[in-house]
Amino acid sequence: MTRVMTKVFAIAAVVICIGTFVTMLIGLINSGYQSLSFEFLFSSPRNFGLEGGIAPILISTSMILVLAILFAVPISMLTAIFLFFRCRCDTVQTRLILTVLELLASIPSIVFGLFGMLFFCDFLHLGFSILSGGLTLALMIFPTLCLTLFASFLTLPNETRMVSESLGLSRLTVARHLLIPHSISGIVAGIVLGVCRCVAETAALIFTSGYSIRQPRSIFDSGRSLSVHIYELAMNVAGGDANANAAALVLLIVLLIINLLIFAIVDRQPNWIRSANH
Amino acid sequence: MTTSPNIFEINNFSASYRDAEALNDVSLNIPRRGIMSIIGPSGCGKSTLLNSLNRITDLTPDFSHRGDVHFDGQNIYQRDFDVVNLRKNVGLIFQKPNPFPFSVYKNLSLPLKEHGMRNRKEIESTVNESMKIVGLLDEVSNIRRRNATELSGGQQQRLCIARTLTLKPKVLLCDEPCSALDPVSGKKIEDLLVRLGKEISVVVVTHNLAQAKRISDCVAFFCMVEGVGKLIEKGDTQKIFNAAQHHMTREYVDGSFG
Amino acid sequence: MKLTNRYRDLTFDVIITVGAYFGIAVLILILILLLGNSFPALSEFGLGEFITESKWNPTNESMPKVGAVAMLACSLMISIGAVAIAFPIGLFYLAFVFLYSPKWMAFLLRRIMELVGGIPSIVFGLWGLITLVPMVNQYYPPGASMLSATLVLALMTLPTIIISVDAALSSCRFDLMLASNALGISKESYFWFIAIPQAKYGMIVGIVLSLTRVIGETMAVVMVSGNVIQIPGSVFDPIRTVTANLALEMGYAADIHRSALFTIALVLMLMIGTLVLTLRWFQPRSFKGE
Ligand SMILES: Nc1ncnc2c1ncn2[C@@H]1O[C@H](COP(=O)(O)OP(=O)(O)OP(=O)(O)O)[C@@H](O)[C@H]1O
Ligand SMILES: [Mg+2]
Repeated sequence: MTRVMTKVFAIAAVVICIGTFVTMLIGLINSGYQSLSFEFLFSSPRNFGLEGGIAPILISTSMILVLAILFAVPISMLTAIFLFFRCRCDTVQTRLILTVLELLASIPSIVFGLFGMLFFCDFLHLGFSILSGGLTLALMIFPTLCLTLFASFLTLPNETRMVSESLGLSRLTVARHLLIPHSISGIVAGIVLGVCRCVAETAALIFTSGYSIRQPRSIFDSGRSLSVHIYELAMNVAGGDANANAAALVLLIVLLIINLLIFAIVDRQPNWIRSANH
Repeated sequence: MTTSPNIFEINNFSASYRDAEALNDVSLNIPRRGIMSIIGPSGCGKSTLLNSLNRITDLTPDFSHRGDVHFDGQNIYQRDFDVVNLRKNVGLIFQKPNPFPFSVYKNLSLPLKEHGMRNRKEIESTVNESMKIVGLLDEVSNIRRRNATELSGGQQQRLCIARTLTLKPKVLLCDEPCSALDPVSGKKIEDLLVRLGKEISVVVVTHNLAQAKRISDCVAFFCMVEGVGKLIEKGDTQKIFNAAQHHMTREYVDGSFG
Repeated sequence: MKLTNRYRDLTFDVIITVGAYFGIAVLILILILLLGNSFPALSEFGLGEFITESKWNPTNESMPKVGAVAMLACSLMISIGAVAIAFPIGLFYLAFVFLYSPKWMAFLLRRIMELVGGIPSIVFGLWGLITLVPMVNQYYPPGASMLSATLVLALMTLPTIIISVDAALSSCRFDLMLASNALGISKESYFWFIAIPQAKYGMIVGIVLSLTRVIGETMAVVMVSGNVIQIPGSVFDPIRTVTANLALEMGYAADIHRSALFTIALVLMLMIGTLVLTLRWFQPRSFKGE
């Protein structure tokens, strides 16, 4: 009985899952591909995005992304290295920081958006700008990135740690010559996953980097990210569905490329990277 | 103090992990020259003792100790003791060879640079000297390119010894240095240790009694007494193997222990 | 020589310690800013009104109301509903992966879920808006409803659940499956009665964490839920969640209205935080990353 039921339900579950996602993908491709063209990628939007392309939006998106990574990676690195050196001998402090990171990781992105609005836009007078958006995203991906980096550091063999200590090597040297080279693929994979989350993010950006559809001239200008553009077209522009679908296709293709990149890197790595990020 | 014939003076030293005591009330002097073997059944705290002498027990949060250990007349557990200097002077070799995963040359030069040597020529000559002592200079070519993890197990272990030798240590602590190796490689390490023992102090933990008999000048026998490791007896090699005072020592070296 | 080494370690320690406390600083800053901005609303209405009243009308001149009960309830209902739909499907999906797939297929099925897990929520929302909502609308107008929101969220959280439960199950000894086969225990029984109880803890962690994710989801919900603040009479009624309300009203809110919005954001954050802390409290030591 268990055998038959399990088999039937298991097959049904796989069919439902794969079927739904494939239908979804086909639907998106179907309604988006007509609008997708070189012109769409390289021209400016006109008439609220109903016509024209998404060039300035792609530029804003990349600027936000680069800023977010630029801020998030160094600080996450420091935290993860700190956790690595302290986790053995100072469990109280380590546990405190780990708990705080988990709490931060669980905060909804819209709340990060509100915080970014209050802190970066208002308090630091950065206004609706690409910089505000980038900083907000940096804070948003920072906790997960830390946890991923820390997990990858923990794969350094204990003996290596013991030997380097017995030789009297300084922590800076251990970090630079042993820890980081050892976990480099984990570091890269963690960063790439952070990039994915930034590219996909909408809620944290609508109140920080704003809606401006124009080409940003500097990081202090407002700029609309790709996902915000999809949202605006679908929700606030009548008849924007086709271009929203096309933009969504672009977003998916970008993410697919990034994901294939991760598979190339993560393949030889154990499960922890994936589990730390889901 | 510094003129004492002993490099390490261990007085009433006890060590425990969390609540479980691993070593109890050990008092032992380690001379400045010659080889001392530490023998004893598994779990009696031999590694614990060696690790405490280099203070890498600092990495174990559960570890605590009583009593004191003097290195060159200084208590190594006193506050603001220079641990880095201690580790420079006290080399530690583990059972499993553990070279760093980069080139042979970098393995040897990294600790040197770390301890303040800047001159390229000086570094190179020190590296070559150590390689020569452990007999790797002729065996391994192209040391700047060759990754250390590609060497054979025995070569790796000798590389690890060379790595500590570059720092010109006063003591070399070896925790079962041959037990992961084949007999031929083991013999090479053994000969190396004998040569080193003429210049500096060498402490070898070993389960191989024949080896202890062959190479050491004196022997310390540890054993569990009521679940806690204790130093039972220490003396010249001849005396321990032929005329030990304690019955447990006699039984252990006879192989009738247990 | 000694000094340089010690000095380097000291500098390095200071820098990484500053880095490590960055996270704590951020959390405190978030709490302070949210609390500070909620203060006007909290002092005018009191926390009680937020968590007992279900009418939300903060812009009304004479009788402003800031009840968040309806929105909180909707947030919770669709999140729990989504996880309740996704978990069994995910479990059977994994049963297929563990019990019936050859190696290459298991690999493929896992990779597919990882890929799907990377799809942005805005894309799920768009699909819901364009395909699912009209479909529901045909039978039970208006279509944008609690049901649509729950389904979209279930779909979104499916990969997350599958990946975390997979990680929990993979830590069990599946090599024992063959040995128990020899004893006459079928692989299905092994899966249900030996592997799953073993992986119970990891699975609960996975479920709760995906629940926190789902509660925080914003854009997809805004696009498919209809955005009417009410306690729904049926699953076909439109609803609005806390996060959706934040996204929809923060753009134009002012004064006490704005402050009330920050208060509900704070309440949401505290709710999720409590969930995470409870989970961590019950975590056995080995799960805490030590
Ligand atoms: N990191 C640790 N945490 C807790 N207890 C430990 C730790 N290391 C060693 N012990 C305990 O301390 C005691 C002594 O261990 P130690 O490794 O020093 O023995 P040993 O004499 O080196 O044994 P062997 O010959 O097998 O290497 C043992 O009972 C062991 O369980
Ligand atoms: Mg040992």
